[in-house]
Amino acid sequence: MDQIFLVGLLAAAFRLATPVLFAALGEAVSQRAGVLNVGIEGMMLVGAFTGAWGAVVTGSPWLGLLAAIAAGIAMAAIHALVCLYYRVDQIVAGIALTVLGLGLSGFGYRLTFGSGSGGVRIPTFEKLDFGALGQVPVLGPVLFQHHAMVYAVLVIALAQWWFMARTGWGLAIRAVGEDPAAAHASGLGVLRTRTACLLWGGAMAGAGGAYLSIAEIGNFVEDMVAGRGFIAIACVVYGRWNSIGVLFATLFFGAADAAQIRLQALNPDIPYQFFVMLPYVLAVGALVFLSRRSRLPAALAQPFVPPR
Amino acid sequence: MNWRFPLAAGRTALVAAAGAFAVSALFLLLAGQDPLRAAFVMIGGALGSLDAAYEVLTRTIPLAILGLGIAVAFRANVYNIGADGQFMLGAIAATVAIQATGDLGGLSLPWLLAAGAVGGALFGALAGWLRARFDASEIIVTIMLNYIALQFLAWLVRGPIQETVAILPRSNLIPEPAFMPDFSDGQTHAGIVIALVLAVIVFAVLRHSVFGYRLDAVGESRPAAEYGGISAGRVIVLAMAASGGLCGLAGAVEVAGVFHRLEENMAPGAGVTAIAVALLARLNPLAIPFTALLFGVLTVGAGALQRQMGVPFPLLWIIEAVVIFAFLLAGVRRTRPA
Amino acid sequence: MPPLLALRGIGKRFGDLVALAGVDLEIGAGEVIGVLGENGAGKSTLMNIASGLLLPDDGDILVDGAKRRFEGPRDAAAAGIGMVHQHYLLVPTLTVTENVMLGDPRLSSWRTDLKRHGADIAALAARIGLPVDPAARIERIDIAGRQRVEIVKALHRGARILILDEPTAVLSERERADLYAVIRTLKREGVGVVLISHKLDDIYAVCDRVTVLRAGRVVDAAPLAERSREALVRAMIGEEIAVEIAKASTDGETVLAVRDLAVRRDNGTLAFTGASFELRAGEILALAGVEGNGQQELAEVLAGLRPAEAGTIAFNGKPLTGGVSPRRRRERGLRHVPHDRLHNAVLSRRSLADNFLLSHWFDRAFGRRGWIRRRPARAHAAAVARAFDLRGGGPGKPLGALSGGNQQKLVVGRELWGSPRVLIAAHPTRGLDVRTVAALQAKLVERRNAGLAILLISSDLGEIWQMADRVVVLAQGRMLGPVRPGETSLQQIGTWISGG
Repeated sequence: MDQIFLVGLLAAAFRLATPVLFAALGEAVSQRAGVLNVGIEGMMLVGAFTGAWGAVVTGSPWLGLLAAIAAGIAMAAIHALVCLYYRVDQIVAGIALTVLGLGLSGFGYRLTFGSGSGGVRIPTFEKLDFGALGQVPVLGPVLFQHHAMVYAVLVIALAQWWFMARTGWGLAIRAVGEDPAAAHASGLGVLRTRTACLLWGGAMAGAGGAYLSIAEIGNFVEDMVAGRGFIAIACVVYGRWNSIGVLFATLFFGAADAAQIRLQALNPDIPYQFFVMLPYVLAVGALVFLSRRSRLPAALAQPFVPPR
Repeated sequence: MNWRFPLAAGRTALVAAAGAFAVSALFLLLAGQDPLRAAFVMIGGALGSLDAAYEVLTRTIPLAILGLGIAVAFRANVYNIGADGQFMLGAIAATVAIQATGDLGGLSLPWLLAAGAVGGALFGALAGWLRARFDASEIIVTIMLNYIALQFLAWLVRGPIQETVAILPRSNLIPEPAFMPDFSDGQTHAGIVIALVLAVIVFAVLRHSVFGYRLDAVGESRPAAEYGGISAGRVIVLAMAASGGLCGLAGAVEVAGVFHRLEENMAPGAGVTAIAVALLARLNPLAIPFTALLFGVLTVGAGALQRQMGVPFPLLWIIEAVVIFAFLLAGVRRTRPA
Repeated sequence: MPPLLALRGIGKRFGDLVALAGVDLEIGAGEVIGVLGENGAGKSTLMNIASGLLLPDDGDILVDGAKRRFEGPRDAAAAGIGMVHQHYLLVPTLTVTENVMLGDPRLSSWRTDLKRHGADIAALAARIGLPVDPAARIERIDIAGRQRVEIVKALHRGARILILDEPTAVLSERERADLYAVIRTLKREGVGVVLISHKLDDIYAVCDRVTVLRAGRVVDAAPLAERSREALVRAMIGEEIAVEIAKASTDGETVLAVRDLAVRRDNGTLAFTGASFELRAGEILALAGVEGNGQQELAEVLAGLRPAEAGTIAFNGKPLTGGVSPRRRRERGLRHVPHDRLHNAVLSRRSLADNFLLSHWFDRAFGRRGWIRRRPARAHAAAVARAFDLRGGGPGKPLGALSGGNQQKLVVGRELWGSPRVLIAAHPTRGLDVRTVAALQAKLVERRNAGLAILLISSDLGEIWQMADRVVVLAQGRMLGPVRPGETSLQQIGTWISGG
């Protein structure tokens, strides 16, 4: 009993962490470059809807994913324009973006799917089949029975770590987020770098939302992201803006999320609502028990005005 | 932040309105509807009949009180996105309090409202304390607390507080003396008076009290405030407590005035709409009842639009987002370097 | 042969302020040019234009005789112009190699080869005579070391013209000599060097020619051999405002007693240890020293905005521990004019009265039973404005709309209101025009004569010499002095400051 429970838990942890990880990785890069994007919840919602709708319209989940990424990029472009070029308050702009995402996805959903009849058939991704590997006890279900996007995001996490730590682009991004004046004086394009990072963040958030609708759940309901975008931001802080750290932070949350579902079943006396609360409580705990001041990108959320 | 001096409040409103019209028209066309007809349906649905006007008033009341709460926090540079959660905690505290004591005669309503304010204040102060003490982002914390409050409420109305007949997820009715006095056969209630009085009180406190001075100082420049001997941490906690208290009071008012019991989904999305209400008013408490009224009209209008023309209700949120963006951009012109 | 770099008729305005007008400057290979001028004369602005950080409103930049337009720092670097800024533009959390290679086109966008670049950098640095450790992180390097990194960075990018902006301000005697040696080496290698300074010693140590700027214009340009020190000083300062200030006796009662104070900077390093001094009523005690030696931190500790690492402070005989809040200290009569007015002392969007309240909101005269009484605040703010000849204020006008000098007048006047016992004034006249400086100095002396104890923190030796009754110096992690201006020479203070 215990082993089955544990195996199921770990397998679920990967699945549940994936959308958060997509969003968190993108946000980590944005914040490393010094831009705060609290609108990823809205971007994920738009990604979830656009992905589902794209898949239905074209019949292919891949094209749906592409549409979701494009939608995420479009929303990030709005954020970039408003925050970087017009230099408005980044936090309020992010909230507005979330509201916009709620509105766009809800509007689109009710217009296309939600015309009363029970859910539309969304062409979803199939889980990958690794054959014999998937049958290995314990490791099989945990590691080898997931959707392609789960493996993709793990690979992206590693690639992003290498990118930030070992490449010239990564160095530029880190410089821009720590001391944009120094970066500018060295000849780097601060606004261009920040814009690129924001667009990457939007693409990843869109993909994360799409994973929910066209891989994991196979359906779209309103507010299906349920705060995961904000949990992703907590994971960025928890993972100290480091791609590998973020990977572990989101896996932890995925495990917590998986655990709370199972704990509900195991503890029918305790009202299930308290288990549902668990990931959110953990997010608050993560923010509290970390002295993030030491590693925060120094120029985060401060608009950069190039001297003229 | 550039919203302290409403030098061109009128221009901001015009830009916001123009933007909202343009974007709404776009989406209406996408939905295959005639924008002009939609505008008529919206206005007509909100103001075309006395019944509709009362509904607008009823929707305006929580938006105004929530908007005041959010304005207080934002003025201290504390981003309280947890209005929904504090609203729920206020409603919970109000219901539990009045059901615990039962009928208190003339004191029932004040007791209920006070309990709601305290409940919301404690919930808000928690987020404020976490920010002041641990530098935990109040944006994330208040949003997480929203989801926690949601689950807590869901459990309460299905468990310990559920109505005796145990059919629906809601509490028993509160005692009659705790009902808010109503007008027009229950179509709207005296909460409007409370909202207007609060607007004046909040304005007076912010402008003329020492607490208000400290709050605005911390909001404008935390280092300057601390230099002047103001304890920023304490101000942040108090600001969040005041903010949460107002939002909790809004919840209590809804319990006393509209639902007469504790339920779920009492003011869906109001916490976010209230942000637009507060921003559009440029955080000026005296302007908030007006911007709340505007969004009350829009909310009821959007409902009419959905019923009569099948235009999805979330169009309202798109409009809200456009309003916030317009507000942000309109303020830019004044602060860009020469 | 055209000069390496020529600036012709450069003009620059910031709003109403004319920073530069009709400035000409030429540098040839192997030449060392000095650009001399007081604070605010426009030296840094001119060099920021030359290095691509700013765009000129008028005039041309010619490199090797060809007109160039620099859209940004990258263009200037590509043209062979490198600048070492006064406040180093280095990213603290990155290493030396990373900082040097930042923005360098030779740095691969993909696989960085930092080890190889680091070796190149170390070799170049050694050849020039500026040892650097390629793997060290900037935040761990001291100020002189950071300057070496900036110089190496410019040279590594292939600079043929090196601009040094006030390079010796933070150096010790020996570090200065090292810098002069490096400049001579670069001269031999054919690099053109521009040395910006307001100190004559620097100019005379290495320069071939000198250009003097005053109020944004060139007032003199000649080979150094043809100019005496006096002539240069006259050109720099123009009309002399020599205010003779009488010194006060310094045997008043002790108001502030500091023993063995040690303070840490934000980055964790110790700014100084074992500092002890007494501040007495009716005197101005000046705290001299190059910025970065802990003066700001000391002021913050005294004001209660920062904890001390060690040591004791007594105010009016009573101990001032970390637990005494900034508000309490103000209530007891300890006031503070901070070094960074814009960020730390004013509410730019609020009125004069509300800014006045910033220091007095807890005073019973302005706040009774929780309500602010604005009328007395307005009255007193207006009184301050009259007393300090504050221009530009009006009812309801935000303080940020006033000029810097007028804002500072409010800040100082506000702190002097009431009957403070101690005023800590950090760089109160920095960056202000001559007339405002004189007015503020007069006010401070007036209050000193009335019994106020003033701790004046300044990096302007002239101001210190004029105003101080006693002087202490923070340098090399220690506090030296106190001495009286009459008993010692300006040279001696200067030597202490440079750590000789």
